Formats: sequence, structure tokens, C-alpha cells
Amino acid sequence: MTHYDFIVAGSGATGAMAAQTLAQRGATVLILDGGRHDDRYASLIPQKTFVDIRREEEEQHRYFLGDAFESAAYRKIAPGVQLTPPRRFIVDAVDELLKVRSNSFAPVESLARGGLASGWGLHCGVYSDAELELASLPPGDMRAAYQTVADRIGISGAAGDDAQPYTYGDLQRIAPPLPLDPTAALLESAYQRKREHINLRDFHLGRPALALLSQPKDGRGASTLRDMDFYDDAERAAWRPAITLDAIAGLPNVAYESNVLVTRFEERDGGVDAVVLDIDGRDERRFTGKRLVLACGALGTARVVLRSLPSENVRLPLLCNTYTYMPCIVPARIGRAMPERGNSLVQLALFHDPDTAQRDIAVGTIFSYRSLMLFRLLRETPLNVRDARIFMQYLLSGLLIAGIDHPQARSEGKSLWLEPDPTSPTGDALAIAFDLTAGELLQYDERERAFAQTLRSLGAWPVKRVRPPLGSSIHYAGTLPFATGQRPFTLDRSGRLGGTQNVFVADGSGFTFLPAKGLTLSLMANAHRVAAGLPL
Amino acid sequence: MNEARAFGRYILERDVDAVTCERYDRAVRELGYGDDATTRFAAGNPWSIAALDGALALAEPDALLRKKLLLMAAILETRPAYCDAFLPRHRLPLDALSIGYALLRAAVQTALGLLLRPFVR
Repeated sequence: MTHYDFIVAGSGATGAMAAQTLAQRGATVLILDGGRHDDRYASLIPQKTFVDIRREEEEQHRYFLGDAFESAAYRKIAPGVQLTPPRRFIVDAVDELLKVRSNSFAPVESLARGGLASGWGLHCGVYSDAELELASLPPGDMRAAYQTVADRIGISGAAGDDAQPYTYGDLQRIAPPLPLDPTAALLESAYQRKREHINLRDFHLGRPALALLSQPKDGRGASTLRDMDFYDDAERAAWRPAITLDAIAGLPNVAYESNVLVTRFEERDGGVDAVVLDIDGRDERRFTGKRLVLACGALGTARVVLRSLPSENVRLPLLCNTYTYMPCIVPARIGRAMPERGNSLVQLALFHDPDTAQRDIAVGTIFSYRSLMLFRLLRETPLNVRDARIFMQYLLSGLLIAGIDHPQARSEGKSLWLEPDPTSPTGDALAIAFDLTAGELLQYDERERAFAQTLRSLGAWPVKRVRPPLGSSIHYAGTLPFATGQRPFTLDRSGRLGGTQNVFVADGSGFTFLPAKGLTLSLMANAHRVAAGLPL
Repeated sequence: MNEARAFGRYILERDVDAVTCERYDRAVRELGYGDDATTRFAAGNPWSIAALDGALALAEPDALLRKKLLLMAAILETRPAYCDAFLPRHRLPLDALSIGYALLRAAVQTALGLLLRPFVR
């Protein structure tokens, strides 16, 4: 049996980044993942703008609605339902293989090649030193790691505006920003006029940092602003883990085994076995390496660890940002034409920093509603479909969606554990209890009101506030918190799992605080930090 | 096919083509949408669709008739021939009058639908 220096479990943002760092250090690396991918829709989508596709392509229903019309089916608001058909592979086979039991929490997980980051929103944020300390991440190492990751993936943005202290830290080499949507541009100009007043209310607005190229880089093209970001990655302008996986796949010291689910590990003298379930054949297989790096996401890694260590009556903590969104109308833009080129990603970021110490920041992300289908809006409108269509068509160019992420510290009522489940191929289900305390609910409500007030003062009128099921932020962390000593179910700062010699964790399981900023860049920086420090 | 034709005509206020109707019928089968009294009544009495749709939008948003109408909207929206009815476009200030008319019409139809609904269930 082949011995690898490192087995990396998971190929998402953290797995890909850790594998790249280890491979660059000269180690032999085996990446294990579920390997789900899209082989139906991606090749159907022509290289045209969203509007041109809509006006010209007869087969568009296949990738906008799905071959089984699955995207047109009526569904209640829930995590994952917003995935477009070309992105549905991200959650393929998850219901069957990653069973969850919870009355209060609805997570999204992935067995895809590239994991959840195959569909991430590309919004990047650097944690402040205060946030890093709260998360038990070493600021000096993380600052260097942020720059390494930013150089690898490519980030565009408008460094220097009021988002600078909240977004970029001291990142260098930021590419110029992509053009701003005209509806969002109105808000930005209103902010400039009222900046002093809004800052006094502890809010700061600026352009977001996006992992979307505005200039070519490393063989990838700049975004051509086709506005198809929710459907394809044609120019490879958006960084997805597949870009890194493709780049390292050709290296002689990297191997990749897909279609497997890492279920547990067994340490042995001088090494560790990763025990996997073959997803198709359902038989158990083993891969042996000197060290195992778990990068299965906070929930997936928790499953593996709970199965591998004595865990009777063990409950692990859980962090997740609570997410709320508010559809907003900008009256000044109603009925106006929209440019055919643009993107539907985050246009502006609004930071609420009440103690001005960057310890307790809530983040609003403002999207325009450009490339999602109108019928999705009609569902939410309490009018008949015919007249709602006429009304919403008129409103569409003045519609923005403001999402609000709240930071999450460890608190009571949030834990997970494994329960037997004979219907599951792994024999278990992940039970999750996640209840907000009265204090948290009150704090979130107050903050959301403050966000709504600020949006109104910028000219965007929230029409309602929607709090989707807990788990909708898809930001999970904190299940194996960083701690001193070698206690089981904790990590030391190097990422080593307590009670083991050769098992390390490179995802967000160790974070002891979850800031509200876009999580993925920080996850990748931590994965690089852990991988860079592992003994070869 | 009759249901598809009626629903398509209701949403766009003009006839829709056979491709759209066939695609709608296939989508209904794929999604396993069945039939109920309200949907049958609406398809057989197109004058009632707006009223029942408006009433259900308020009282029972996940009713089968609403699901089927939204499915037809999705199918129309992804046909090049009809997509302009769903894309944002520049409007003259006078168009606000037609929006106002549509909203007024929707309110009246909803009130009518709330009265009608108990008789067609």
C-alpha cells in the first residue's frame, strides 16, 4: 500500500489550499474527496451575456430550470434551495450520506469536488487582529497567510475606501474593482454625501473584496461581466477550488482519489489510516499516510473525529453566523434600464462596528437582483402572478438584496453529537442543537433595525426582513476549538488534534469565535498556515 | 394542453405557442403535480384564474394552482419569444399609470377570488 506523506481529506477551499501548500513544500500528498461534479449543464451554457442568452437561446430552460424542472418547483425558503441547476452538484448525494437530525438547524454540506466553495459568493474579508485573537488564530502568522492566499486566488476591489480597515487588512496587490451596478452606485454616492452622519451611527460602507479577476492572472481570464456567475465559471475569473486542484493535479507528488467519503481514521505506529466509504460500491477502503489533514468542513470533520475517538456522551460546540436578508427598493432606480454587462455578486459591504475596536462587527452585503429569474420573486409576492409580473418587472431595476451576517461567539444551546442511524450508509447521523438565546435574539433584532435605518438613509427601502432557517449562512466553525494542552476534541495552535500524534485539522473547526465577515478567505489562510507549519 | 394554454394566456395576456404548452405538460409530469378542484375550475373557466390566483397568493401561497402558475411563469421566462415580458426595461413615467392599473386590478380580483374560493374547493 502506498504511503503518502500527507492525506488531505476534503477538496474544498481549505483542502485545496492545504494540499497546494504541502505539495509546494515537496511532500507527497493524496487528496480524498466525494468528487461530485457537474457533467450535464456546464457544457450547455454559451459564452454570451445573461440577457443575450435569455433573448436567443432555446435550450436555456435546461440550465436555468434544470432538466427535471427542479429549479422551477415550488420550495419554501431553506438552505441550498437557491442553488441554480448547474450548481446543484454541490449538494449531490448529501442527504443520503451526510445525515443530519435537527429541529432548529438546517446546514448545507457538500461532497463535491471543490466542496461548498464551488458555489461560494467570492466575498473576501480579512479578520482584524481583535477578531483573530477572539478566534484563537495567531495574528502574525495569519496576516502572512492572508497575503499568500490572496496572491494565489487573485482578489479585486477598491482598497482605500471606508471598507479598507474591515476588508483588506494590510493586503497588497489588489486588482482594480469591477464596475459597480448603477443601483448600488446610487447608494455609494448617497453614502459619500452622508458619510459623517452614517459613521456617527457606527456604519461604514465600501466596495467589497472579491475573488473575481478584473485582470488576467496565471492563465485565467478577467471577468467579462456576462453576469452568469451563478451558473458557470467559463472564464475561470472566479476562484473556485477546482482551479487550485487542476493546477496541482499535474504535479508528480500529488494524487487524487475521488468518489470516497472519509468516515474515520486509525492511528498506527508512524502513520495513520484514513478509512473511507466508497460512495458507489459502499465498501470500506483504507489509505495510509504519515499524517492526516482533515479539511472536511467543521461539520464533516466533527463526524470523522467523533467516529474515530472514544466519544460516548461527547457533545461538541458549534459556531454559525446567523443570517438575515432584506429585499430593498431604491425608488430612484425603478423603471430604469439596466446595463447588459455586470455581475450579480456582492456590490457593496456595510459594516456595523459599534465599539470601533473591530471586535463585534456585523456585516451587510448588498446584491443587485440581476441574474436570478423573476418567477422566484413572484413566489414571494402576495399578488396574482399576472399583475405581480407587471409590477415586479417595473421594480426589478430598483431592487437590491441586503444580507446581514451576525458574529457568533460560543454560547449555550449550540452543540452537535453523533446518533446511531441504521438507514445511513455510515450507520449514524449528526444531531445538532442550535438555539439562539434571548439575548442573542434581542441583539440581532436591534442590529437589523439599525441596518434597516442606515439603508433607508442611503435611499434603499427595506420591504421586509427574512430570517431563513439557522444554518443558512453556510458559515460553520468551532467544533474542535483551539485550546492549550492536548485535550481530546480540541486542537493546538498547529492544528494537531488532541490525543493524536498525526492527525491535523485545517478547516475552521478550531475557531473559537466566528466573525461575520466572509469566511472563506480566512478558512483558506488558516489552512495554509496549518499546512505550512506541519513537520515534513 | 388546455390548462397550459389557459395559464399561459392568463400570465401574458396573449396566446402562447405549442412548444410552451408541451414543455409545461412535461414539467407538470416531472414534478408530480397532480390536479385538484380549484385548478380544474380555473383551467376550465379562464375568467376566474386571476381572482383565484390572487386569493391563494394571500391565503394559501403553496396551493397547487399557484405552483402551476409559477411553473408556467418559469417556463415562459426561459423562452426567448416571451422573455421580454420578464426582463427589466426602461419605462416612461406614464407607464406608472399602467402599473397603478395593474395593482388596482389585482386588488379587485383578489377580493373577488376570496368570495369565489369557497365555492370551487
